[in-house]
Amino acid sequence: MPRMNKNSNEGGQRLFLWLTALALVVIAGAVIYSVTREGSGGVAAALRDDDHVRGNTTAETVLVEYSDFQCPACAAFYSTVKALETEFGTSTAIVYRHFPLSQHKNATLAAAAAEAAGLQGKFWEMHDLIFEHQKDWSELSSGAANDYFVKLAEQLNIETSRFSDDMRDPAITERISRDEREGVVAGVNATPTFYLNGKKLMLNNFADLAKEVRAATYATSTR
Amino acid sequence: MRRPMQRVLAKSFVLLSFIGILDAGYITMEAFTGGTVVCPLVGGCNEVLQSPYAQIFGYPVALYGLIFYFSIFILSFLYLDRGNKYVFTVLTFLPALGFLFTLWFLYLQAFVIKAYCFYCLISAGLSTILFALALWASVQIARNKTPLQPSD
Repeated sequence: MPRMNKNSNEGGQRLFLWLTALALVVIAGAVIYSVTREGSGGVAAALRDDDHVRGNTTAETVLVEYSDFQCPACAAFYSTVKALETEFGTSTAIVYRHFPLSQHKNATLAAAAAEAAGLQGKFWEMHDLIFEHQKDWSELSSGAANDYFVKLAEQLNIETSRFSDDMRDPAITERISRDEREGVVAGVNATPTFYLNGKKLMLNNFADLAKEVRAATYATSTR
Repeated sequence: MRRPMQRVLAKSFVLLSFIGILDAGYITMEAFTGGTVVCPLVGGCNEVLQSPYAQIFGYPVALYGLIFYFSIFILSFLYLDRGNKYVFTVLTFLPALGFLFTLWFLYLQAFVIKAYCFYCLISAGLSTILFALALWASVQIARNKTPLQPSD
């Protein structure tokens, strides 16, 4: 009898031990999943008048991208988003919002350059150039990067003295940090992060983005 | 046969490897989903994680880290369950392997990439502690095996 008792007691301890192991694994999985995929909220703010929109500005399908001009993944997604515009430009509004990450020293400056170009009606032209030349300005000192953006502005026939002043305009700084604040609320924790009709997308590769947009535009066109 | 020192070591390994799983797991997930990580304190995450050294045989280094910590985690539980001395031997050798990789990655960050990443440094700290504990345990065991004064 005592022997049996000892055995069942040991069995209970072993079960408890492995249940602890299992619980820890589940906790680790849940923590990693929630940090990388969900974010808090997960709903992007609705389209505003001063948003930068490409494609059909009045379309029902709205794709919002939170992006950082200096992030390599964002530059890689740039051509994907451009291709989307060719395919879905008539049925989708494509929105760019700023989310410059602190580890990218020239990202905020680049965002300011795009905004300053926007004041002269050339936001998207500047946006394209900044991404296409990402490697050329990422590593520059902020002074040199500033000069580089002025040169890009020249290429676009932007009035450069006004452009330089606008880049330092507090209103532009505020505009960028507003995007950033809203991004944090919407659960942006990596760049680029995409929201389709307000809902955060979980993408595993470039092709997923087109798939999601195709499904959404198909859903609205057949409604 | 309780071997209290070994059990304490296995329990510390559980705790350390759990933190390691969280750390490496986060970077592995971000590597596979193509996001840019939020990068606290030392900057440099992208320089490090998107450098050619962040992949070995086409898989992110973080994945190997995850496998490393997970092995230690499971083996520690296995030891706590069975008290098998061979499992314990593996537990004292694995951290040495991890520490060698840590030295290599620290060298790459300091001298080749010239940038540090927060999550990599956390992992470097963890694997260094694991190695130190394993070394300490091995020394203790070796001492106990050859007692200075023969008892009786």
